Amino acid sequence: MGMQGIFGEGVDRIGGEPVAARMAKKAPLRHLDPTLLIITFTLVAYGALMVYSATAGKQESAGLDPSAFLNRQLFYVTIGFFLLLAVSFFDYRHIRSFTPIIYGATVITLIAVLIVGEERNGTKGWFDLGVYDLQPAEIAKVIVILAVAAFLAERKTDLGASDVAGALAIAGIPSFLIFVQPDLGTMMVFVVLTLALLVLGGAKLLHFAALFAVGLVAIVVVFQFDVIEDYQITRLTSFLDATPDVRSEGYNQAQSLIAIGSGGVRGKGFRSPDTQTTLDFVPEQHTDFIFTAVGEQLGFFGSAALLLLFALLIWRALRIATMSRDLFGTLVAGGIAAMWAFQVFLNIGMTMGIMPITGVPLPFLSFGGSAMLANFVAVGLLLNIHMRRFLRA
Amino acid sequence: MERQIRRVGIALIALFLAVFVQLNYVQIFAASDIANNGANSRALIKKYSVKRGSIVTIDEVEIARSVATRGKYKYKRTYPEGELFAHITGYLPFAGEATGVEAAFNDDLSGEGGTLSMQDLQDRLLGSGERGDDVMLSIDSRLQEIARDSLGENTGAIVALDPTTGEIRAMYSNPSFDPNPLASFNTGTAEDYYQTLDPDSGTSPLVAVATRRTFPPGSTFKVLTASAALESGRFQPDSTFPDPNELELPLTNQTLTNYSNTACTGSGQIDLFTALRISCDTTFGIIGLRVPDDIREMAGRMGFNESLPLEIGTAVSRFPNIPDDEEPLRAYAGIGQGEVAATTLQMALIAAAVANGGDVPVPRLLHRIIDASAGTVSEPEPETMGEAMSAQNANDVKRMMVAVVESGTGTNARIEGIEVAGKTGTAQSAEGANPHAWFIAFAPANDPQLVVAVFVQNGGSFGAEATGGLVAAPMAKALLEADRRLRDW
Repeated sequence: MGMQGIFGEGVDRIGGEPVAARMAKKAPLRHLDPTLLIITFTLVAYGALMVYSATAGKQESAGLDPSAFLNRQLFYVTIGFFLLLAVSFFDYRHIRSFTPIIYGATVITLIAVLIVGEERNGTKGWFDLGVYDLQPAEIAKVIVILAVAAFLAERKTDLGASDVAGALAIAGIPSFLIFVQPDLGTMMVFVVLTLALLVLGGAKLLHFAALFAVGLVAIVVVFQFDVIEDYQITRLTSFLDATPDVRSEGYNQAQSLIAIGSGGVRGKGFRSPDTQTTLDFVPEQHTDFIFTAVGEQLGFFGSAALLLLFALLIWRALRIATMSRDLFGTLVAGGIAAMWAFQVFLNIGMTMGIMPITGVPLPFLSFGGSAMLANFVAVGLLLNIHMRRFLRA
Repeated sequence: MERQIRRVGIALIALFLAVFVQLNYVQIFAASDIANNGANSRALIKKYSVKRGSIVTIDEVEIARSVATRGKYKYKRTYPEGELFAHITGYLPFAGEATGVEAAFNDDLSGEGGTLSMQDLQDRLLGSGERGDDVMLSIDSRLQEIARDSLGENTGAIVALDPTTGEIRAMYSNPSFDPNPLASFNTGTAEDYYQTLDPDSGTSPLVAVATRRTFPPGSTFKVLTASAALESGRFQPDSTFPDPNELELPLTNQTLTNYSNTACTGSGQIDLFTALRISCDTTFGIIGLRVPDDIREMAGRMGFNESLPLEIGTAVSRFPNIPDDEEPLRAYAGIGQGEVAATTLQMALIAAAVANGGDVPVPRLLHRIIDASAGTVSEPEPETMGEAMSAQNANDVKRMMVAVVESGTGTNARIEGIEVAGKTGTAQSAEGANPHAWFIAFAPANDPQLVVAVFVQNGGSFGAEATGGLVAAPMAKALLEADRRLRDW
């Protein structure tokens, strides 16, 4: 069997009818999940306001358009929405048949970015496309969910050691390529979503015990043989230091914590003066540290509301996982839920000093195109699975 | 299937709970502590709302000043002379602790000093013109420039001070850095530049060679050894010592050899005066073995083994306490090698003690504080760290140092028309590395106006050929000549 066989047969005809024609008739818009869409757009709107507050002051003082970042973010959202429509339009089982090609292209792209990519903050992970910087690792998250889900779905929850190994290999290749960029945060997301997919796919306790052992050995190897740079170890461990030196690796974390803490219960108010946010204290605030803008300006109420929105989003994704007509849909939805949940944990945890500083964005809130597009594709997939839950398997 | 999804769901809920618990802690329980943190913006706005006083040199060049901005922070700190005074002024970072004079005289500069004048009170009641005091340093910008230019690309330091008052007239260390980006309101700019300075390494440009780094002083230390020998009462300038080809060290089969690898005079014996003039290692090795306690006490009186009382602080220069079973090290200590390590400023103080009739002046940077709004001035009195040796012995050592420049190893520092006293040093550093070049000097010998200490790490551009006389003496001469012109002595 070829690649096609590994991922399972694609379905382009159901009941003798071409998929597209059938879908136009049967994939009913009335089975859409409007709650998921509402949550998504609430998050996006929330994020856009925060990106504006985190960038407008700096832009103004530099004599530039204060809305530049906001407009750009809204542009990404618009593109993302069209992607969402496109992705939810075709039956996801049709998408499944293209998975080997998409996966192969993703791996090639990840190799290419190591060779011709742009380096930022020591990580080589971007293509400079002139008007837009593409970060393939963000897109790869969704692709890997699709690829691993397609592989595992074929095994129908009766997983042997070789199946687990196969799934790990599929996730492992892009993970490794991202690891050498190096982008440890995104790699951690890959690890977690793969574990979640294995749990959903029916891997046994014994498999996880073995994985744990292998993981331990890998960590020892990484630290013993200087596979990662010293600064990365420092960055990963500085969060353990309770009183970080403001001039050191703990600087971002200190500023971030101060911003969130000084928000208190009610916050200082949206775009209020004298905040770390409007004064541009927190580096990368509009991207990875966007949560500090929420915490400082809108306080505990605003932060808790945001967490609630994310919880609703995850709940929706898991609910779709339970409702899916097939295992592939369940795996994809569950994988997306795990991806978002872990990113929220890693990102917000980082801003509050309980997780290391990594370049993992907050879904739908952080400024940035690649992540926004990938997340809209994920929503599209969820809607797709949800809409077709009653179709014959 | 349901069961697996539930498992994953529970794990994800646990992640959310962890974040939520921490959110409660950060924004509710610890919020007030965090808000009062020094790096918080409100504290910073206050810090930059007062027009901080300027730092000026004795020739009235502004080397740190506050410039009005239109932003939220009313005043921005700038350092017009860039790297020239960086180690002296230090810098006022946006987030974090100030360094150098900015830190040492922060109360005066920020106008929060302990003494409150009527004018201050009036300013505060009327809410008008609140500003800090100016700090005038004893540094002369023209001499400072000559120090920088003399060092050129060489890693090292030059310290020049007035031996009677202890006022430092020039103190430059290479490499230096630009304090302006470090004081930027843009913390990203500051952080990026800070990281390029390799802040965690001991050789970072942030660490001033003159005051913060110690090196074996080599033969310049013989001035201190000679002083100790005279103070012990056991030796006179004409006391004679054996002049062997090599000095056999006790307890081992090791020997201490001279720089030339032969005896110093070839006559079989040598007197103390000649030994200093031609920098005879074996003689000072012998003194190191004979009066180790006197040398250690002398080192202590001249400032070793504790931080010098300079306003901006210094590293500790070290003279080891060598136990009996490591006796050979005492011979090396006598010639400023082994575990002896000194800052350039410390070596300047040794020369200053000789120049100042035995009294060690307290080195200082502050010339006066000027309360601009009230027009008052406060000026510190010169102080001494104590008497290191008698005036008679200081005079004897001075004569030896004059001979060094007249007809010894330091002839490159000779200046037409005046007597210069000096001592060279060519110090062994790490195995295989080129020697450090040192020179300490003062002039004129009969009425010392300026002490200069020069240190060039690993001989600078001269490499393996470097000696103190070749590399460092001409630099000291340049400083002495310039100060003579500037102050007409």
